[in-house]
Amino acid sequence: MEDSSTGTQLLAIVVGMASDEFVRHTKKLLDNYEVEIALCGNVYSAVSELAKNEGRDILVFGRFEQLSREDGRFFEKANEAGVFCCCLAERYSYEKRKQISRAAGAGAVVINNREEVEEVVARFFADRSSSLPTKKENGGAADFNSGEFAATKEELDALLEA
Amino acid sequence: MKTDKLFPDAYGSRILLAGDISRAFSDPLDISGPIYQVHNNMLDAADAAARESFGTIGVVMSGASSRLTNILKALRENNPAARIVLLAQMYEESAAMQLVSLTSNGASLADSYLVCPVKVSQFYAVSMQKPAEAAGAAADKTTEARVKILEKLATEDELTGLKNRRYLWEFCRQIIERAKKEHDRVTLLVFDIDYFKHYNDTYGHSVGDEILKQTAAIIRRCCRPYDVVGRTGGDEFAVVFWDDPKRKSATGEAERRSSQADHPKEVISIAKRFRKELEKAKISLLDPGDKGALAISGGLASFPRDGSTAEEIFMQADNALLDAKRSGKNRIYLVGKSQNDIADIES
Repeated sequence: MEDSSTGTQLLAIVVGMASDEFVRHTKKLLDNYEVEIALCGNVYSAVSELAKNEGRDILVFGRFEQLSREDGRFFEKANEAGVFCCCLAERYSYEKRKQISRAAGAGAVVINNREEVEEVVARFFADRSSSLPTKKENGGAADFNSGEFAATKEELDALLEA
Repeated sequence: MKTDKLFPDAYGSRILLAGDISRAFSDPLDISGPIYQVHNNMLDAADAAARESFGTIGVVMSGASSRLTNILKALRENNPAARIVLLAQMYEESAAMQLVSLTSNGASLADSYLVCPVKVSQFYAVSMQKPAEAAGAAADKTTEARVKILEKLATEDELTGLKNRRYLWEFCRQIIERAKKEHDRVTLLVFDIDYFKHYNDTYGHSVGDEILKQTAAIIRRCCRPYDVVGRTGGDEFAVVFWDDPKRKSATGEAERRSSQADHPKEVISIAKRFRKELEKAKISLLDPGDKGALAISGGLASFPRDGSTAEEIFMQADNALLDAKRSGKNRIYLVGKSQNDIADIES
């Protein structure tokens, strides 16, 4: 859907199988916000979608297991492109903690249950609408990845320590 | 030699290489110049393919096996006109053949494959072949068929149809490298035919050849489809037994090992079966006294127990074979277990 306030289109990339409950739940949620959605089956397809839509405001949602493939390169790319990235890490082993910390370090919001995505999306759009009037010329979705979401990283760190 | 200088008018101009090229090319340092874009990380390669058009995309299969279909789909979708060439390790050849035959949305996932180690010039020559729609599918198929014939000539033993020495050595080297990473086991059996000179001198070379052919057919029949069987010299043969990833997940590790021998249980069974089958071989031209007397002496060595390189494993298996011969022939010895014929090991 055209974002008339900024002239740029917002695109949400949801990564995973269409049958995945998290994918379906996130897609349904984003439909309420009338956002253009691209469904990508895997992280390779998602990175192609990012490249094709360079310059747009982009949000990415997916499971940590999928997005962290290839040494977590996707998170770095998303961060470089100023893309807002949210991943679900429901279960993680001790070994995975380091990877999760790295993802969070690259600006990704890590949630540990499916329902939390509602809060993340709500905060994203609330933050987006409040920042629109003062939005920087070259500002991307990364502009929204501060403040509220910084707390999420701290929460994550606390969670990892637990 | 630098291929961009050798072939300045490259078709499709740019070449994308995805994956660890040091594992695919024998001369990776020759990959340089503006026509190449190399990405060790597959996600970077998919990203590059989305941003730019390439004439050829080379994909190193090694280390990417489980993700390969998704990677290829992304590359194909982003560069539909590119020639996608898989760079397969020897043990990945059957997987490469399958991928070449797979399609996604009507387009093949990959156009062809090369078996590693690949020379940069060889890869470049394949890159230069025009896509089927431009050059005509028939002409393209002819070229590929010729390449396959040449490959066969270079890797097979003409008399027996088994793999030749060069292929076997290289396969052993590659599979041991993989086994180091995957914590797998590789077992090598080397053997030769007892009194082969006697058969040759008594009955002539045509009978000698017949014995070699029958021995080759029997060992091939006794082995599993993915074991690599070769003739390494006159009457010398070798078999590389390795862990097939698909089978490994289906059977428990403990079940597959012989605790007595510290060798894969199945290899011992195969070797025993082979000896029995060989005894039963019917070679019509032999005198009654020689019929049913066909036997072999062999040595078995395993990675990592007996060595850490292909050279060490071959040397150890050869030593065990020599021990078997010195001890009276018609037996297969395990490395470090002299006087321990596999016939004495329960399988």
